[in-house]
Amino acid sequence: MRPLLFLVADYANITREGKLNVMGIFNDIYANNFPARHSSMHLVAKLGAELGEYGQTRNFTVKLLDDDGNQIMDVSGQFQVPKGERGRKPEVNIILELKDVVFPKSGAYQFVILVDKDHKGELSLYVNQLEAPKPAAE
Amino acid sequence: MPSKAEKLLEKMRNSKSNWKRADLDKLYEGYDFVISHGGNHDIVKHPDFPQLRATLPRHRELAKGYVEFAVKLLTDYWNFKKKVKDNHGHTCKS
Repeated sequence: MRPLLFLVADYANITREGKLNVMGIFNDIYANNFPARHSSMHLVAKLGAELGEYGQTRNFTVKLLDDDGNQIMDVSGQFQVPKGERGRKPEVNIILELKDVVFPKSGAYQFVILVDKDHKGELSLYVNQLEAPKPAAE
Repeated sequence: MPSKAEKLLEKMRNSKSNWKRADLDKLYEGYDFVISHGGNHDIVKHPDFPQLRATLPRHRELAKGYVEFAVKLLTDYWNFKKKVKDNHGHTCKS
């Protein structure tokens, strides 16, 4: 599988016609206090199939790591690679809704996607501490 | 003359399979990346370009994707370096 798209957004879905809708792509999260809980985000991956993968079942894992290499969470699943029709290379869309992810501290986090234990892509997510408002000068 | 890391990068560009974790360590370190051994995974970062980062597995044998990602990351590294050099050139001229 070749990675074609890997991003995090507020919302994503796939229509009945197979169109991928993505809204509110972001790379930064801001929080007042830590640990910070992010109520909902959608992780979107689009993978292109290589010849020989058509019709096969593949296992994927998405990991979230902090800046020190500690694993915050992981999600695994399976998908079926469509058969190539009309001479077109099939593509697979993966959408994961991640609810209530807790970020222990501010810093750079990495989402890593693996397909059958092979690395397919990485995405940085920056979790920032909001600065407290300065008292108004008199 | 190309450095050892440049030669290694060229070899990896030509063939992404059958590399070991130690080869990737040599490649990254040859370009001044720092490998920190974290809790569950190892993280690779460049001190001058913090946006360039990668994760590494702890197994000896490497899946192809890690090498593909390293080649891509080092292409980004060269582009960043070139940009910095170009900007510096402009600053000096003005």
